[in-house]
Amino acid sequence: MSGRALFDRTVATVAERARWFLLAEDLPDRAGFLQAVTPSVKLLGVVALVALTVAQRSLPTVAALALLSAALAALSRVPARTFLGRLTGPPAFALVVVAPQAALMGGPTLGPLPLSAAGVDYVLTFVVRVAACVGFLSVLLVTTQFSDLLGALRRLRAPPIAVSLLGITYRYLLLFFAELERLVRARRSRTVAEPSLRRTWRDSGNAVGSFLVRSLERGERVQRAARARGGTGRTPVLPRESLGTADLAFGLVVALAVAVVVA
Amino acid sequence: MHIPDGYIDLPIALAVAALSVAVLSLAAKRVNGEIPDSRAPLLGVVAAGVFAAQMLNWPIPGGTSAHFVGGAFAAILLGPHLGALCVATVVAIQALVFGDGGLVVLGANVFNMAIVEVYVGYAIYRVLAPYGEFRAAFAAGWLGITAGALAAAVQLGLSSAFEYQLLTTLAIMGVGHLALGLVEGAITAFVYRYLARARPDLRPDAAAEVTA
Repeated sequence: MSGRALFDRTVATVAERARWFLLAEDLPDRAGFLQAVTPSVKLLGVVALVALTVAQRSLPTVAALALLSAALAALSRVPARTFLGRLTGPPAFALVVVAPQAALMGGPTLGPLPLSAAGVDYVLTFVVRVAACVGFLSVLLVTTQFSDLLGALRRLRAPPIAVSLLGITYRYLLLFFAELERLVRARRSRTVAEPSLRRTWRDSGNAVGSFLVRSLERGERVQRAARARGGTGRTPVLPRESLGTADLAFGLVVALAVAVVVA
Repeated sequence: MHIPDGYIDLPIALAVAALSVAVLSLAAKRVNGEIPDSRAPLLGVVAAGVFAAQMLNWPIPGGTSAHFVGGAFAAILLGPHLGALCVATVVAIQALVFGDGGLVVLGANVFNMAIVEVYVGYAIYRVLAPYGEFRAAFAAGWLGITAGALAAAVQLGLSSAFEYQLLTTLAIMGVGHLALGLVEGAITAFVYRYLARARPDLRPDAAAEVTA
């Protein structure tokens, strides 16, 4: 791979991450079912649904749970392209990982094929289970602003320092994305002749090293500034939330799913 | 190495998550007794920097590319406890913002990448540093990520949801990461060499932990 192509790939990766970051900030503003659910209730409900899905070993059950995640996405007006785009990568990778089990597992074979029925069932169940879990996580992420997710974690008594760390890191992500992109574009513009592999590695080591040292120095400045202002780094006390109809409806959906699957 | 939900059994995921919480709590206590709130900005900003640095592509002979993970390097730069907290923040942001890895297995992913990789990497660096810091940084990156992969292999191999036997997962992930880890080791060494020349005061023997 040429040096320029490498820089382009990095810029594309940064742009993709930034695009998702902005999308995850934008989509929760749409009116929809899960957007109306209180973040702490939504977080608990989605964790319960994922935990329920992880424990399942039957194809019809995991398929029903995958459909439930798709239904929640549709009710929340998540664009189908966004939802399906999220849903393709991890299940496809899961298929590659467990596909050999279709031949390795014992039992009656599927006609002339060297695949066992039990093996094929296992592979399908595994892949659909992963898809269902990714679906539930995706609907949580695209219907909840990160600040609301942090508020939910605080309300659920997550350690305040952990919530503060997540909040600060999130705040600086776009800034560092932009800084990295500038760094890579500058290197690309300075690259006249194709550098050797060794030279590329040495330059990349210098670039990442300087980028991380600058991050550390920025962190020290931010820390001193926060201390000078008397900042504690903690988010203010959150107001009490009153539960509404959407919370009740989502709670019923989760309870029904648990009851049907466990029964 | 981000494990998605559905690969690991729930009891194993919960047990490893509890272990992660315990280790990170201990790490927080070892840093000045308790992490003071004033230190959160430093850690948070550095975590964002590490996250961004992971996106830079490095060329690999054969026409493909790899990226930096940075667990061992974070330990060398910040010390093991702050390094573990920093990488744990990166892993949590990757899951809760970008959906990399799962929700129920978040504790397991934190254990593999922010605890095993960071502490093993740091221990290897400290043991080998007297024989050459550049080589020690290489070994820390290489074996740190391999240790993290082996921890993931144990969790996968013990899970009934994942049909492969423990020996198979250990062999595939161990051998695979021993090879892939060479790239992480080389990146760690190259970045360390810059650090040692540009900011020698940040090396572990100059200051064991970042000071406020």
